[in-house]
Amino acid sequence: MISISELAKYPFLPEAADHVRELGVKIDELDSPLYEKVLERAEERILEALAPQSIDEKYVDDRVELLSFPVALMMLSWMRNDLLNRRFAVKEAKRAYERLRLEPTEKLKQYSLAFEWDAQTSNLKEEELLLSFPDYLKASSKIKESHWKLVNRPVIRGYVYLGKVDFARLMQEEIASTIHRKIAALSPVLTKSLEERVKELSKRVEETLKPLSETPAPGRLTLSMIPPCVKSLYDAVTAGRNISHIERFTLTTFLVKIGLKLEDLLALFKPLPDFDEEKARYQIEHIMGVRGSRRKYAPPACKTLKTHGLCRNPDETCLKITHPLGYYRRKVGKLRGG
Amino acid sequence: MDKAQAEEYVKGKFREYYLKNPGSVRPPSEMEKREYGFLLFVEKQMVRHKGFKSGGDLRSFIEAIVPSDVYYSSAYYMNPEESMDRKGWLGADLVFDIDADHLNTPCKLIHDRWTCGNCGTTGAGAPPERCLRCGATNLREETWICELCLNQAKEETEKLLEMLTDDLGFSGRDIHVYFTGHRGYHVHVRNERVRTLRGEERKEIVDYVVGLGLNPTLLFSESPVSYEHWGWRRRLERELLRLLFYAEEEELNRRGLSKRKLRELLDFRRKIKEESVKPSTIRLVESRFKSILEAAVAGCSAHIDTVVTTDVHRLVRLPGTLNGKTGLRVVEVEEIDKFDPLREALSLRGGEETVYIADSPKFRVGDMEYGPYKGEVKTLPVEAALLLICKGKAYPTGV
Repeated sequence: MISISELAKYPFLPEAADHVRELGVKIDELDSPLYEKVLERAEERILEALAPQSIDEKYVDDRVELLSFPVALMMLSWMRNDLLNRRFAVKEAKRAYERLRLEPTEKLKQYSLAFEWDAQTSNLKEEELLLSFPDYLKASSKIKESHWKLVNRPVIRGYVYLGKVDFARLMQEEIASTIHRKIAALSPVLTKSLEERVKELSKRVEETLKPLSETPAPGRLTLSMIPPCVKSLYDAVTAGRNISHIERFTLTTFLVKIGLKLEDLLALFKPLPDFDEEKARYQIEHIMGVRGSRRKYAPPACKTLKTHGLCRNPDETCLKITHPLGYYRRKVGKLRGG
Repeated sequence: MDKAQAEEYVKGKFREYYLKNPGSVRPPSEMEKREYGFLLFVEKQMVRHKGFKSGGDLRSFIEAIVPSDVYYSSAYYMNPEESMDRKGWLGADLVFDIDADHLNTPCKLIHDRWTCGNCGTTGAGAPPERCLRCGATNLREETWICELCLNQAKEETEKLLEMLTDDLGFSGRDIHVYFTGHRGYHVHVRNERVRTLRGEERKEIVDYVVGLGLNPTLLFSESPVSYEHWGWRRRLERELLRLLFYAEEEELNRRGLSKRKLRELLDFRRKIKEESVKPSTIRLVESRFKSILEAAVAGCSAHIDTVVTTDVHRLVRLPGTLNGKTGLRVVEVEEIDKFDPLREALSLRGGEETVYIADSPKFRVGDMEYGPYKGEVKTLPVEAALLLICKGKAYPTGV
């Protein structure tokens, strides 16, 4: 059995949805003052998705926490803003991760049933879980760091052996995509007054998002000269999709090398769900060599990118180069050579 | 006799095979969800997007058109006969291809040649990326199936099978091994849990099998799990210790260790002999004997054709059909260590054929050895003659 307070902490679980259904809350009842706190919390959750800082732990009570989640999903679905949906999903998933990593392994296994994972607790080591490798691959496919590669993991008789924290991290990925899918699947009809309220929220969201969408493009000409691997990262960032550490490093080093300035880069990364301006500034300055070791970093060579699965959609020109900057130089050379 | 007539002869023999062995063509599991493709003898034309409901229909079709090669999709579709974007992909078997084409066997220099379609330059061995003289990329390949190449392919397949069972946990029921009828093996894994993996997820399996992106420091760091000896860690440890402490100079040489490094290693051996690989061992090897580390990873990995596994729409050869490059059958292999392709994959036996052989290395078919031949007329058993003709090394004289 999963308790109400657990459901409140992990409202994406199917049991949470069941519970809400059993309560029999109807959309047209939400206007009632009874639910004011729920609506407020739902709005707060949505706005929180836009805040660059880490997750705050405003927790009213189990009931509000639990009910505000489906209400937030409904509001998001009505607003039809995919960038916002994505950021909300990532934020909620991170919130869950921070809690999950502290749970006992038995609980993690139980919650992971929501994704139909084939997981087991270890009978040899307390903090260890076993996850069937196809489930591992599906959940980890977006995480690119080297220690997440299957080849660097203990894989025994079909199971990947994982520490508890790593297991929770994989759950985070799965939670984010589950939430994103859930929002897309809804098509709510709101009452007049609720509609007004969501419109108001929508305005606030757009005001926050507006400066983000004014991303300084490197110019159409430049875009056509960057290699497909870097282009895919650029596209991901401008669409507000989260990218891994090495992907950020690759994109940043490349753009620094072709002459983008610190402010341009900060604006580019702004739409990312976990954007933290101070941190980003510090990291970019490091890469530019104006901080720390004063070393200027270059993007990884094609070989390294391949190893990390970052070589994407290679084209004709890619066959002739061994380094992404070589691609750019060739294109620029062609332009100048006429 | 010209090429078209040789082709007509081969087609006749293929027809004979299909008519005489009606039970040999083995439809795949869930056959109605698969797409079928046929390479025709005429202008090597490909007929794709076919669907069949029963083994009988499929066999009748093959008997009617007598294709040079028959394929089916590793994928399952809702509507296999529709165009690609309307097929409705439901999943795909996990497929591995081990082909001597992708293996670096020394004998290739003897039995394989390439010819530039542009300037006519020829060279021994596997073709380079572009012609060494004019830089053209349209290079023709002439290959031969030799026992050394076949054995190497078998070894790679065995390494793969070990990883599929010991590491990835598939059972014998899930795994099917086929001889391709040419220079290698296909391994198909049919299992519900991997069926819906997408290309990028299959890429991780490829990297696992070939050891791409493997990070020895991570592998040998303080074990985060209850087992010390698992998959790659166990495999790499064994091979690394062997190369570091036991491998002969000749082998180390062959694996690209310079004279200076070799002296350094022998010196190191005199001082230390380790029983296990520790983080310190990795640091040492990474800084001083990188080529040994690379050789150890290469030695443990299974060399597969990586694009086949990641392609979730791939057409693969249908068991029981003939391979147009050799006239040999595609057959399921029960016990790979005992399998002899040049005996068990023969299609037609009995009878003789007189052929003119332009040029052929020495080869074996069944128990008999033949060749080498150069510019001579010979009367050979049909199975040997068919192999030579399919490989373009000979043509029937019509006597």
